[in-house]
Amino acid sequence: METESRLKYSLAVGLSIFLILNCVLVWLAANNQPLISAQDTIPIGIKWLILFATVIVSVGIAYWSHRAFLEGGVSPVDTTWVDLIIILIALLTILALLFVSEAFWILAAIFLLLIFMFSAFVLRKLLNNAKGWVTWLIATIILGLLIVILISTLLPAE
Amino acid sequence: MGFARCIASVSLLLSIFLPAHGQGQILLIDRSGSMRPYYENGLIGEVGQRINDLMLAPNLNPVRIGAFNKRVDLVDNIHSIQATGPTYLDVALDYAVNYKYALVWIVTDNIMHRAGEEEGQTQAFYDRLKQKSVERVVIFPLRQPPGQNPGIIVYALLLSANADEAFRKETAEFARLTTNTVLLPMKPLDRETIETTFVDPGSANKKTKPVYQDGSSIKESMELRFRSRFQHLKIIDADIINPAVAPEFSENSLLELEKKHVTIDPTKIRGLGPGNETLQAYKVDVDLGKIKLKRDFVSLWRAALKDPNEEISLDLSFSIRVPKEQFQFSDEFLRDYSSASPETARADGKIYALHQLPLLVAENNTSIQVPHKPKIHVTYPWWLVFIFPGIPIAAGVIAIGSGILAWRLLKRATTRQPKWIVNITSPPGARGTIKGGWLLASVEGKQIRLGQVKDSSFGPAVGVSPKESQAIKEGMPMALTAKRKSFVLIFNRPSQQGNADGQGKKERKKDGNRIATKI
Repeated sequence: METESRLKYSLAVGLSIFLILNCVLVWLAANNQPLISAQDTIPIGIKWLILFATVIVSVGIAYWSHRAFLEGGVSPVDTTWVDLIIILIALLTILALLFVSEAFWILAAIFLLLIFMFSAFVLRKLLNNAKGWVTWLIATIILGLLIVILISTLLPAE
Repeated sequence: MGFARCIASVSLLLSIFLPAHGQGQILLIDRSGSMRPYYENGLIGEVGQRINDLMLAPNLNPVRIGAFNKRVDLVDNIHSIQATGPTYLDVALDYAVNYKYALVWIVTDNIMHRAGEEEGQTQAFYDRLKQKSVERVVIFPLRQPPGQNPGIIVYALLLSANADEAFRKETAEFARLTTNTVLLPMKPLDRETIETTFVDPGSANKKTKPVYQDGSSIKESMELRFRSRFQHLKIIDADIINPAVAPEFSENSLLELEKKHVTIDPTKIRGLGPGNETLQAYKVDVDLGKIKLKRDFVSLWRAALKDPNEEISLDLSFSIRVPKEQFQFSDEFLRDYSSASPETARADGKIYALHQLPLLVAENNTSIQVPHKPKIHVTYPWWLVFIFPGIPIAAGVIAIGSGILAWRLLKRATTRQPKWIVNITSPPGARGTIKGGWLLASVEGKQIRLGQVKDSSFGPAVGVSPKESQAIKEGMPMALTAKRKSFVLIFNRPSQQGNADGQGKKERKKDGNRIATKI
């Protein structure tokens, strides 16, 4: 597989994993699971420090992927969209972990849905392969649902 | 006089060998003449033995038995006591206090009989019970079979707070093992005797605990009822005075309150029966003003780095003032245990004038402290982020920025920079400039970043090929491709003269392709 395709499909898999992870986090927040509600006791300064660190790391990853995609032959416009998705998903992940409690889970869910739609739109253009894109879309949705159901049966109730 | 000195000396000597304060227990049994029937029917032997067994259970030694009339004598065996003489209850109590016993049991028919005084004058004894040396008083009235003898009283007295646990265990066990008696806690009457309950039980629920933010005003209203924990005493009429609030912050709390104001309405309690709850609901309004974080830097810094939640117990307290005549035993208790005269007491096997006990034991005014501890939850503000990590990050950015700036200035001042002129020969009309080390090409009104010039090396920018760095050779053409355009660059060192008078600069501007720039 040539570098460009390898990068694109790696991105598709990576996005799926992070979208599913966020789906689980939002579900946990909606149910006020102890894993999420424990964030109430994290010091404010530490929370924000982690958030800033995540921003820096995600921007670094976005920059690295930007270079890799450009060198792989992907157009600068597409690589910029990819950067944006990476940063947004990193932010959503850390927000869900540190700031989203039961009260705000709907906002996080809306944010997640928008990122998912945005990711699907960018991947549709990036992959340029209808079959591969549909596969990604269905796999992400089904896997997300299955993992949420699995975790809901494993974790204790509130 | 000499005899009194002798007694005093012996007492002093004896006191050396006495147990330290709060270390022993003593059972003092009334051996006055009026007690003779109880010795004869075996009641004293039975009750005394039961108390003795209870005293042996906890590790509160030594355990002694004494018999008293006008004086106290220690005895080895309860059955060896001979009943004779008057009853000096106060002498018995004084003995236990002076010899520093922690826990005292007194078994008596409660008929205080001093020589030359009227029978039944127990005030001197009860006055001593009110003294601070007596921590707790529990009274057990022991009813007797009707038609034989009046009932007797067993006092359990705690003289040292250290023995509180043993005292509670022994009295509870005595009440459990003894029929025809009840446990009457008579001192203290001002603690743990009245409690509060929420009118709406849901308001005590943890989930509804109010949550406040920094700067918000704390105004809490609640409806309470008072519940008596007395088992046999009722309060006829009492006033609620001095409602107060003393918010209990955690040890390392960083919060402070503006004021402490609390009101309760109404302020009267009427007819509170033993174990009952007031029918009246009392409205309590608490106004603590604004709660806020302490604004000193150390507190703010600590707040940013600790659990952002604080739970504060409001610690409301109400003082219920009960005049002693407003304490009464319940009608049911009086019917079962109290008798109006010594004669009826003998006939019914009850205790004479027990109804007067609250008047004798209670203070003129008992202020019952009723604690109420609703909790509130306070969260720290989000803007602490500006303290941490805001300040360290800002300091870091400033330090790094200053460092970079200083380093550049230092380098510029100490390093001899080469000077290059770049001449773009292709595409036609393109102009090259070097700004801040970056080579920029102006083509058809657009500016393209071609790469970075560093000393004698050229590093291409992203999207410029070839990607590898190249050494700059004076006068030699360098071919690049950027934005689908081919560029040919020629680097030259400017002549000293042209650079000095500006002439060279002017000439190069004429052809439009060359510029001299200091790097």
